[in-house]
This record gives sequence, structure tokens and C-alpha cells, in this order.
Amino acid sequence: MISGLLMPALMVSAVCWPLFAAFAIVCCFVAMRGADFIRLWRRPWLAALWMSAPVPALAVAFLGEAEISIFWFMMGGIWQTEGIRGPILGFTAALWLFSGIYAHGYLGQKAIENRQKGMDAGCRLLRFVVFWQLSMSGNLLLVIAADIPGFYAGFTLMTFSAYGLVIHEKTGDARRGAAAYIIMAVIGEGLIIGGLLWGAGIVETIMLSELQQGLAASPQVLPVSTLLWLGFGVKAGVAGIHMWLPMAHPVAPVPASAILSGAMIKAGLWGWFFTLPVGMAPLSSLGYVAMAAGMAGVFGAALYGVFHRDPKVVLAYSSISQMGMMTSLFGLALAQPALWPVTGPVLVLFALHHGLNKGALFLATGMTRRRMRMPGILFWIATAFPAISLAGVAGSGLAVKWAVKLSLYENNQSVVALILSMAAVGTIFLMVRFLLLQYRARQSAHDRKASKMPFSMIISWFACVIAAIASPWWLYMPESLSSVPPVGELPGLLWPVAAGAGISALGLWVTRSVPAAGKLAQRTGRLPAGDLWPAYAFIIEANRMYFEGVATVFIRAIHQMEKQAEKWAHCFRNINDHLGRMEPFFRVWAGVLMAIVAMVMAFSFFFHA
Amino acid sequence: MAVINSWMPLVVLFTSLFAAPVIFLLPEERHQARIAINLAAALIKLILVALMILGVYMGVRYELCFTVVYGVVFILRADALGVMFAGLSSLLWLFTTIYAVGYLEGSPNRSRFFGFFSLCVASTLGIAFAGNLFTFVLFYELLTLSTYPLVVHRGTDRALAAGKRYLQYTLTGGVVFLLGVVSLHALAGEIAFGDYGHLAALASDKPFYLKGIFVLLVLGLGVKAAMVPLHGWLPQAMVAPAPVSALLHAVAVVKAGAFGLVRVVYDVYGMELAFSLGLLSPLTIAASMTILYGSIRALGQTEIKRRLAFSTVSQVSYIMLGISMFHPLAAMAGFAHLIHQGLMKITLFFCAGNYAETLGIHCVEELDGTGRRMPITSIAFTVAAFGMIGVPPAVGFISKWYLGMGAAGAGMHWVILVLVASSILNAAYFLPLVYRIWFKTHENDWPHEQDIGVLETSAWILWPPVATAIFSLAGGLAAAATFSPAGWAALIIFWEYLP
Repeated sequence: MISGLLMPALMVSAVCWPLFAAFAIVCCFVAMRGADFIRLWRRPWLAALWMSAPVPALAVAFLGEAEISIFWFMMGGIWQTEGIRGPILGFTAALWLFSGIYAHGYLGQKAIENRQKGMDAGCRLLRFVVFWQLSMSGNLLLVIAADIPGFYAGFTLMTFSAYGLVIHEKTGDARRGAAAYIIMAVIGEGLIIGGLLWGAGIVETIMLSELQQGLAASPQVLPVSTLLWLGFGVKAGVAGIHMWLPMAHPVAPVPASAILSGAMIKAGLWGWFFTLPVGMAPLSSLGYVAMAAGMAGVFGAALYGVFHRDPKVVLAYSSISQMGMMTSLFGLALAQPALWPVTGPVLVLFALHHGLNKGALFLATGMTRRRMRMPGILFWIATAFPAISLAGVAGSGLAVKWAVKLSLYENNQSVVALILSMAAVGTIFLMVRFLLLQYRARQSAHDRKASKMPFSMIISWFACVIAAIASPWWLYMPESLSSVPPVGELPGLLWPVAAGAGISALGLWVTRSVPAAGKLAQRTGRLPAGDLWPAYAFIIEANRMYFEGVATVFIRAIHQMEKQAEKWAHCFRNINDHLGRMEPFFRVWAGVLMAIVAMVMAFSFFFHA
Repeated sequence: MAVINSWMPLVVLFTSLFAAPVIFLLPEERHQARIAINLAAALIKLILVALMILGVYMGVRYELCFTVVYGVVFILRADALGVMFAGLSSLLWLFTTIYAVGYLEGSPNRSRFFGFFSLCVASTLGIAFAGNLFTFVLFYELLTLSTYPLVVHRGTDRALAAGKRYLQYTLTGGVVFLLGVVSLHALAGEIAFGDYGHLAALASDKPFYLKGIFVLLVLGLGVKAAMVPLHGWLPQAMVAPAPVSALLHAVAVVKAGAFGLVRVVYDVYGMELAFSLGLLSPLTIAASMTILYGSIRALGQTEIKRRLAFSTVSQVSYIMLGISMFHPLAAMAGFAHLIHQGLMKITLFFCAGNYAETLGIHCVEELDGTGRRMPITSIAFTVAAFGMIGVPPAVGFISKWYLGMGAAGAGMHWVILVLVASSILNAAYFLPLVYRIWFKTHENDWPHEQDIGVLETSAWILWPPVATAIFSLAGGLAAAATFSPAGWAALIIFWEYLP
């Protein structure tokens, strides 16, 4: 009986506990009227409340599969953790947990610094708390909701709340990044709701799984799927609509960047997973477009990102590149449904691996800003290992690479496999660049005699690194695949790494020793983080008169109609005026008229009787 | 019991109808007594309407009917649709009364204000319970007359001009509507709401007359419902005091027009007839035009209340869009949006009033940093604004969802495009406000700051928007529950309009 109640209670609290935590912390703040909130923040019970937010979700993920239905919730809520939802929930909650613990120390220290600078530190801290918990709740809800409204509610709650995380620092870059973020988010939401309404309307369902099946059988599958693919593609950073990502991810506070680039970016992928009829009906045109866009992202992001000087920007471009790989694998499965039973689980594995490793890397960028109470070798192991793993040399990366390769070769997709292998070269570039930038940042932090690192940051960072590298073994591994490739396969898996490392070394040597190349590298470092954003802005600005023209014509036409209506009203008024002039006449004759009427009535009554 | 049931609509109507003369007669300075009478009447009415909703749910018939002159019948009756509108009106009347007490504290002519205020609410109840077009017209015109003194309450030149414009529009609209009603009566005789047989029998003989009369009725009602291009009075009328704007936009005038359209399409002509006469698609197109026009115009407004007014133009047409699509889900969305729009818009106007009253803020640019100064009001505003955009779980999403489902079901896919465009435009004119409130810092002094109340502002005007914001969240979160607006709308569709 208890276990029968435990799971539903846990599932509800998975979504509600973060909200409650935020509410409780706000109440504390209000009760203290903001004074000394920073000291309160350090109290163990408040820290526990803050950190515990994703714990119910984590428990749900590991206690087994469950389903609850809440009949009154929106249009009928079904929440479940069956199938791939379990590991996805586990990954999402774990990353929020690590980043949350990290954020506790990070924010506490930041608040003290802010107070020294004379800023209103307590309020800033509180704002972060609220937006953090709201986005967490949304992110967890979108994973467990099996009904469309619940899923969409989670998605939008996450998207709009994350705006507060992006703009948190309120610097010029943060404001620009946040503006790009919200503009693209609104466009994405519009596409998604359009696709969902259309799809759910023709299928007549509110369940995600029925939507997928119904779409597969519907003649309108292509337009609906395209809307959904584009809408979620904004979040997933598909090439061409990705510009907001390198502008927004790096400007957030470190733990928020980790979440944005680790967990939230995946929400786009989960959107595709849960709404598109992948594996049910062949969508070759959309599938091949997706593959092409994915490939463009893979290589474009690697080539553009490698020139940047901010380690977080480099990581953001690496996210686009990695998501590009997932996009093209997904596109392949869209075009060839027969591949989905193998590709689906592999993609989940890939996404979880990337999410956790990228989270660990982002957390590492916050570790260079202060002095650490530990030997440098430990720092470098923890920084480099997720990078190496992401490049596919060791740990989870090797397992993922092996799984991807195996699934592609088994299905005679060796060309795709080759292209993706070459993509690994790009990842190596980005990772080498990242490590170099980390090295410089750490040097300068030591020079500046920066303040000491809170313990919670160190412990959560290490935990995240270990969890990331070991993710296939504790979190999720498709049953049909083995997590460790045979030794004989290693050369085939590792040649891109060797190639990438070689080319990187060559590049470094050239920029160091050839002055002209060095100058060029200096200049390219000033490239804007939003690559295509200025170009799009330019196109829109150049065509602005046309947009405005259309709107003006529309408004003018309506104004004309309005004027006509006024004219008619005026006409009525004129008649009224004329009648008004007859008023004295009536007044004079009213008595006579009434007398006549009375007489007529009296006569008629008399005769009638 | 049956006697009580038949008098019930009248009793509810009279709670506020009686309050009006009592308030008029009270001396101006007896504030406490006036507040007590107002609140007591509002509470009693709310309770009675709640009882009636429960009664309707359990199958009780509330009907009062007598012949005025031969062939003209006065019918007061509470059907499911009627009690829904009555519920909205009495719930929001309570909140608006509380708000108005705080808002008008210390200003002159309060007796006049609250008297007409009660009359205005009595007329909306009459509109809700009207059982045929004759009764409807009576209360519809009473509404016009009782709102005029509220619009011009401040007595400034701007207010008087707005009032004049308001009367010109609504009286002309009323005349056109009356013309339609009389023609229909001449053609078909007495028609009670829900009695479609009459007109359907005429459809084969006199389709032209029926179409013409429909156009007259829609034009007449479209003035109050602020359908483009008949909306000119609405943005100007926002010079009225905040509680009046709130009431005007949420329940009283605009909603009366929309409710009338619902009655005409559903209860006079009937869905099937209106559809077979080809009257619905033009209405869909007109509603879509209004939705887009209102949103585009709202983008350009710098005054907060004006922006909200154009947003009303756009949002109210969701109701017309829903009822014109010939699909049960779309109709359900239209019915539910009667309530949904009311809840969200009244919250927004309350909040705008709070900013104006406490800090003297009237323009969008002055909102910078108000989130810090007035967090509770700002949270309510944010919730309602996101609801308007259609972000779940607020009620706006529920309307949009069922509208979209209905559009797809009825094969009108382009309507989904209109909905998406409207959502994006809504985001474009609401998000900058939310951004200014929360993410910009306040630099200069507030335009006109008043230190009222213990919290950020006086409790009288602080809690009503909070309550309506909570309602607009709860209505969406629990949309599948029976007594939520959407749940009740589904019930209406099942009971009364699905064969």
C-alpha cells in the first residue's frame, strides 16, 4: 500500500518540490525583508532545501517505472516514467542536482562580491533562485508528461524562466544574449504550438504517443512534422536557427550555462523524440534536410567556434556541433524508419553522455576564476577527462562512439559513419582550444590572487565529472549494445582523434612561430559569438520597409472602414438634428394631437360598446 | 420549490438592482454604509449565483416568463450558458467593488459612481438571464445607459469626449440591433432562445431575409463586442477610472456584445442553420481580421491602458472565432474564453490601475523597475500577461488549444496560423512590459508616488488582482475539472448543442 502511494507522491513532488523550494526561500527573504539574506543562504537547512529540489525526480527515475493520471490537470494529465523517460529523467535530475549544489557555493560567493561592490546582492540572489527552480520544474515536467498540454506547459515554463538565468548578470553581452534568446524562443514556441495544434487537431488526441501514431497515418504528416522539427530545432541548436545559442549560453552564470547547454538544449531533442512520427512513417524529405542541417552544424560550429577566446563560447559552439551529430542521426532515422529501433537508444545514450560531459566542462570554467584548495594535477584531470570523453577517446565517449558506429555499420550507413568520424576531428579542435583557454584563465586567476573556492563547488564538480564519464554504466545503456568496444576496433575508432590532435598541434605551432598567422589568429578572436545573428539582423533591417508596408496597408484599409462607419454615424446625427428642429412644432401641437387621439379613442370605445 | 426556482433569476437580478437606488439615496459622506451595502449585495449575489450553478448542474430549471403585450414575452431564465456568464459577472463584480472602494478613496461623487455601478452589473445579469431577444435588448440598452456615467465619471474634457464617442457608437449599434430584432420578430414571431425550429422552417423560403437580419444583428452587437472596424469607441473609453475599464473590458460592455453574438449564433439561428446559410465563414474571417488588427495596433501604443484596450479588441474576437467555426471544440473554446478573457483582462487593468494610483505610471516607458517596488502587483500582471500570450498553464492557453483543435477538426487550418501569429504578436507587446517591470532598473523618481497602505499599496486594490490572477492560473491548471470555465463550457456543449 505504501509503495502504491509512494510513486505517485514522488512523481507529483518531482514537479512541485522545486516550486515549493522557491516559494519557501522567497518567504524567508520576505520575512527577513531582504536583510542578511546572504548569511541565511549559508545556513545548512536552507542549503538543503535549495539542493533537494531535484531529489524527488532522481528518486522517481531510479525507483522503477510508474504512471499516474491526474484527471483534472489541464486537459487530463498523464505522467509516466516508462521506456526512455526513466533514464532521461535520471540524467536531467542528476545534472540539475550537480549544478544546484555547485550554484549554492557559486552564488553565495558572488553575492558577497556583489555586496562589496555595493549592489543589491540579496535581491539578485533571490531572482536567480526563483528562475532556477521554475526552469527546473518545467524541465522535469516536460520529461515525465505524456500528455501534450503537460509537455508543452513544461517546455514553455522552462523556456521563459531560463530567460531570467540568461540575463542574470545584466551586462551588455547578457542583455544582447537574452534578447536573442527570447526572440528565437518566441518564434520557436510559435512553431511548436502551431504544429501541436495542427497535429493534435487532425488526430484528435491529447496524448503524445497517439499524436505520433496518428501523424504517421495522416496525409498532412509533412507540414506538421516540419513545424515541430523547426520549433524544437530552435532549442536544439539546429544550424541556421542556432544563433541565439552561442550568444545566450555563455553569458549566464556558470551553473546556469551548464544546465542550458547540458539539459535544456536536450529538451529540443526530446521534443522531436516525443512528437515526430519517427520510426513509424518514412519522412525522407524532412529527414534528409535534417541530416544536411545537422552536418552543417557539425562542421560549421567547429570551424567557427575554434577561433573564440571565451572558453564558454567555445563550449557553446561545441554543443552546436555535437547536437548537429544527433540531428543528423535523427534525420537519418526520420528518412529510414527501419533504423529507429537501433538509432533511438543510441541517440539517448549520446544525448545523456553529451549532456553530462558538457555540464562538467561548463562547471570547469567556473573553477578557474578562483584559487582552488587542491593540487593542480587533480584540477587538470577533472577538466581534461570530460573533454577527452567528449572527443570519444575514453569513458562514456568511447562507448557512445562505438555504439553509433556499430549501429550505422550494421545498417550499411558507412558513409554517414565516415562523415561523423571526421566530425570528431572538429571536436578535438574545440577541446584543445578549450583546454588552452582554461590554462590561460587559471594562470590569470593565480596572478590576481583570487578568493578561495567554496567546498560545494569542488565536490559537485568532481561528482559531475565522475557521473559524466561513467554515464553508460550507471545511467543508461541500450540492451543490444556492449559498452566497451573490442580492442581490435580501437584503431578504427581513434584515428580521427589522432588526426585532430596532430592538426591542432600543427596549428598551434604555426600561430606561435609564424607572425602573420599569429596576427590572423588575434583578429579572428574578435569574431562575434552570434555568427549569423548580425547577418539576419541586417537582412531584416534592409527589408524593414516591406514588413512595415504590409502592416501599414492593412491598418490603412481598416482606418478607411472606420471612417466610413463614422460617416454613417454622422448621417444618423444629421437626421437627428433635423428632427430636433421639428421639436418646437411638436411641442405646440402635442396637446392638440393628444386631445384628438383621446377623442377618437373615446368615440371608438363608445361605438364599440 | 418550483416557485422559488422560477423567481430565482429575478431575485439575483434584484440584489444589485435594489442596491442601486439605496446607494443613490445615501448621503455622499456615509462611506462605511455604502461599502457595507455594496459588499453585502455582491456577496449575496455571488452566493445565489453559485447556488444556481449548482442547481443547473443538478438539472433544476429556473425560468420566469410573462407576456408583456400580445406577442412580446419577457423571459428570464438560467440555462447553463447564462449562469456561466452570470457567474463571471458576479465574481468579478465582487472583486471590482472591493477594488473600486480602494481606488476611489477620497474622490468625489462616489454615490453616483457606485449607484450606476450596481445598475451596470444588474444589466449584465439581465443579459445573462435573458431568455429571448426582447428581454436581451432591454438589458442591453440599460447597460449602455448605465455605463455612460461611469465612463465620464472624472468629468474631464477627455472623459466627456470619450463618453460622447461611446454613446454615438453604442446607441447607433443598439438601433441597428433593435432593427434586426424587430425584423426577426416580424418575420418569425416570438422566438425563445434555443427554439430553432421556427427559423429553420423559414430557411428554404426566405433565406435572403434571414441572412440580412443576421447581418443586422451581428453589426449591432459587433459595436459593443468591438469588432473591427466598429471598435473605435473602446480605446478612447479607457480614460475611465481603472475599475470601470476593468469591468468594461472584462464583463460588462465588450463581453455583453460577445455574449449576444453567442446567443444569436447558437440560440436564435442555431449552428446548423447559420452554417447552412453560409453565415459563419464571413464571421470567422471578420474575427481573424479583428484579432490581427488589434494585436498590430496594440504594438504601437505607448500608454499602458491603451495597449490593453487594443489587446481586448483582439482577444474578445477569440470568442467570435470559436463560435463561428462549426466545431464543438472551437465552440467550447469560445464559451470558455468568455470567462478566460475576463479573468486575465481584469487582472491586467487592476494592475495598470495600481501602477497609476500608487506610482503615477501611465506609460510603458515608466514601468522600469516596478517589479522591485510593487512585486505582488507585478507578479499578478506577469501571470495575466503570459496567460494572454497563451502560455500554459494559464487559462489563455486552454482557449487557444481548443480553438486550434477545433480549427483543425473543422478543416480550417489557416486559423491555426492566425492563432500562432496572434500569440507571437501578443508576446511582442506584452513581453517588453514584463521585461521593463522585472529586468530594468529604476533610475529617476516615480512620476507621482503616493504612500498608501502597509504593503506596496492599499490592501483594497492590492488583493483583487492577486485573486483574479490566481483564478486565471487555477482555471488553466484544473481545466478538466467540471466547475472550471473550460469544464463548464464542455458541459454546455454536451447538454445543449450536441444532438
